[in-house]
Amino acid sequence: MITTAQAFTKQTGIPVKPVSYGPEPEYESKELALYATKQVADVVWDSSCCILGLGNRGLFKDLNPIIKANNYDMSDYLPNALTSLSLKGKLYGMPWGVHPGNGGLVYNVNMLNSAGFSKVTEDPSSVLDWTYDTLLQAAIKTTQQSNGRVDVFGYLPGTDYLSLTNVTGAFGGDFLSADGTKLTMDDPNFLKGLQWVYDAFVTHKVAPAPNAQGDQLFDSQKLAMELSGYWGQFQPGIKNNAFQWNDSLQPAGPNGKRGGHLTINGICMAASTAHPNEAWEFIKFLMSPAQNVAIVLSGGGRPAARKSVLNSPILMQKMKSHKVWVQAIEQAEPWREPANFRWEEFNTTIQQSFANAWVGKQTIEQTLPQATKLLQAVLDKPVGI
Amino acid sequence: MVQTAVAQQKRVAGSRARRQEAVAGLLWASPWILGFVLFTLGPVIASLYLSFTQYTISGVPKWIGLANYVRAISGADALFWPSLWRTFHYALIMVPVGISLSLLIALALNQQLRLTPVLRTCYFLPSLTPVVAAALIWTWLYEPEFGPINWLLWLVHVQGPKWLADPSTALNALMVIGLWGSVGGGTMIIFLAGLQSVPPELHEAAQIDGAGAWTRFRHVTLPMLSPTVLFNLIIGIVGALQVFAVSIIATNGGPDYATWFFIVHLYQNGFQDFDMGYASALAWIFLVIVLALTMINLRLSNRWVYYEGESK
Repeated sequence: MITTAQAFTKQTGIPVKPVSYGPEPEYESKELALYATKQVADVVWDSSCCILGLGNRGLFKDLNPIIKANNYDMSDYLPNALTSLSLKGKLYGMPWGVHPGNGGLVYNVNMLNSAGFSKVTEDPSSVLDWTYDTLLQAAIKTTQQSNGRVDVFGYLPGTDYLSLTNVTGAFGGDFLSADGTKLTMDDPNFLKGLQWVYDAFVTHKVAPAPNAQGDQLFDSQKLAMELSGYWGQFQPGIKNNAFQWNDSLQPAGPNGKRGGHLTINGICMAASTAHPNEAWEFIKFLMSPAQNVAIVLSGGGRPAARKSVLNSPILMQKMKSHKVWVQAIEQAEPWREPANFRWEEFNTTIQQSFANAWVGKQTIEQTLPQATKLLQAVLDKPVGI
Repeated sequence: MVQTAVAQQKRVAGSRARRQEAVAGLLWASPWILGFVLFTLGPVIASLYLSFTQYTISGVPKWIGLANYVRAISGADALFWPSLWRTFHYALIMVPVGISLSLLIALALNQQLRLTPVLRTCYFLPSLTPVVAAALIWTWLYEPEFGPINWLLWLVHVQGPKWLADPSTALNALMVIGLWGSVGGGTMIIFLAGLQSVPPELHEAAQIDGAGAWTRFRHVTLPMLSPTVLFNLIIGIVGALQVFAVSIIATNGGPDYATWFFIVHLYQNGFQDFDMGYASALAWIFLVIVLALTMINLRLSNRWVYYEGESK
C-alpha cells in the first residue's frame, strides 16, 4: 500500500499517509475507536463483515452522489458486488477485492492420480466437473492409514459460516433468509449440506480435527485436499515444487449450482473526511484496473469486482487458477448477513454450536436445537456495530 | 509571653515547611497521579456509567438503567451463567492443584542439594514463556493426528483424544497448559522465600522433641508459611478467574463453548460484538465477585493463618 500511495501522490500531487489498524478482528475495534474520537482515516479498507453495519451507523459516506457528480462509469462493475455493499439505496464501499465465499479447493495432483483420479492435472479445470460425491470419494481414496494411524488425510472442510454456506449453498440451503431476518436451518437441503460435512469428518473419517492447520498439512503432504479460496493460489509453504497442485473451485451441488455468497474487501470513504474530493480521487486510483491487478499479483489480495480486472490477460496468464474463478465470482449471489449486522457474532455462534458434530459427539440433528436457539438469540438482538 | 510567641512562630514555620513538603511530594508524584486519574480511575468510572447504557462505540450511550445487569443475571444471555460456572470450575481445580504443586517444588528446591540452582532455573523457565507462545506450542503438542503427545500414546497402543478439538477434553487440556506455565513460576518463588524465612531454631526444637519430618512440616513449616499460602491463594484465585489469553489463542473459547470463560465472554461482547454497555456491566459483576471472594478469604484466614509473634 505504501508503494501504491507513492504512485498516487506522484500522479496527482495529493499526499497520502498510509496507516495500519492491524489485522481482523481487532481491526474493526480500532476503526470504531478512531471513528468515535474523530481520527479515522479519510479512505478506509473494510470487509463485508462490517461495511453495511458501519455504513448504517453513519461511519461511511454514501458513494452514489459522488459517483453521479463525477460521472464515474460503473458499467464495468458486477451488479451483485454493488448490491453486496449497498443498503437502502446507499453504496458504502467500492468492491476492491471479491471472491465467492470460501469456495476454493486446493488439491494435490500426485496424490489424486495415485488414488485413481487420473484425469486430474494442474489445470484447475480438470476438477470442475466434480460433484460432492466425487469429492468425498476422492477424499476416501486419498486417506491413507498404517498401523491404525492416519498418515494422510483426504480432505479438510471448513466449519465457519463462509465455509459451511459454501457447501449448504451448493445443496440449495442456507443458514439465513436472503433478507437476513429469519433462520432457514430447517430446510432439508440445508441439512443435506451439513450432513455432507459431518460424513467427511465422522462417517468416513477423511478429515483431520476441525482445528487442524490445513495449509501446513497440505504443504507437508499430510493432506490431499482442503477447502480454500482465491488466496489458495498462494501456498508459500510448498518449497521447490515438491509436488503438483492447484487451487480450483468447490464442486457444484445436485442442481449444478455452486454455493457461496460474494465476500468483499471494500474501499470506503469515512463520513468524517474533510477531504472528500481527494479521498474520491484515491479511491478511483485504487479501483483502477492497473493498480488492482498489481495488488493481486503481489499476493496481497483478490481481484476487484470489475469485468476489466476479472478478464485481465495478465491475471489469466500469471495467476495459477484465476481463469476458473472468474465465472464463479460473476455467478455468486450477493453477500448475506443477519439483518441486525451481527455477522461476527453469528459466525462465532455457528463455529461453537456445531463443534460437537464435527468430532462425532452428536449428530447434526442433535446439535440443531441448541444451535437454533443460540443463533436465533443473535438475530433477536438490537442492531449491532 | 515572649516564649509563647516564639513557640507559635516555630509552629507556623513548621507547618509551612510540612505543607511545602507535601506540595513538593504531590508535584513529584503528579505524573503518576495524573496518569492514574486519566487512564485508570477515569475509565473505571466511565465503565460504571456505561454499564447502565446501551453503547456500541459508533453511537451515543443510551441510558437503560439496570437492563444490562438484569439481562446477565436473569439468564436472558444464555452464555452468562455457563461461562461463570466454567470459570469457577477452572479456578477450583487450578488454584489448589497449582498451589500444592508449587509448594511441593519449593519444598524440594529448599533442600540444599548440588543441583538446586539448575533445577530452580528449569522449573522457573516455563513461567517466562509468553502465554501466546506457550499456547501455540501446546496446540501443536496436542495436535490429534500428528502431534507428539498422541504419537507417544499410540506407541503404547492408546488411541489419543482430539484434545483441544473435543469439547469433552478441551478444558482439561487448557488446565494442563495453565499449570505448566504457572506452578514453577512466581508462586513457587514466593513459597521458596517463605520457606527460607522459617526460623531454623523452631525445626531444631521440634526435632529435639522427637518430631519427624511430616510432623515438623505439619506443625512448624505450614503454620509459619500460612501468610504466604494466603497471599498465593488470593493472587491465585484472582489470576485463575481472569483466565483469558490461553483460551483465546488455543481454542477461541471453543469447541462448543467448552473453554468459553467469563473474561472471554466479556471480551466477545465488548470487542467483537461491540456491546460496550453490556460488557461494562459484565466487568462490574466480575469485580463484585472477585471482591466478595477476596473478602471471604480474608475473613476466613483468621482461622488458619498464623503471623509470627501472634498468640492464638
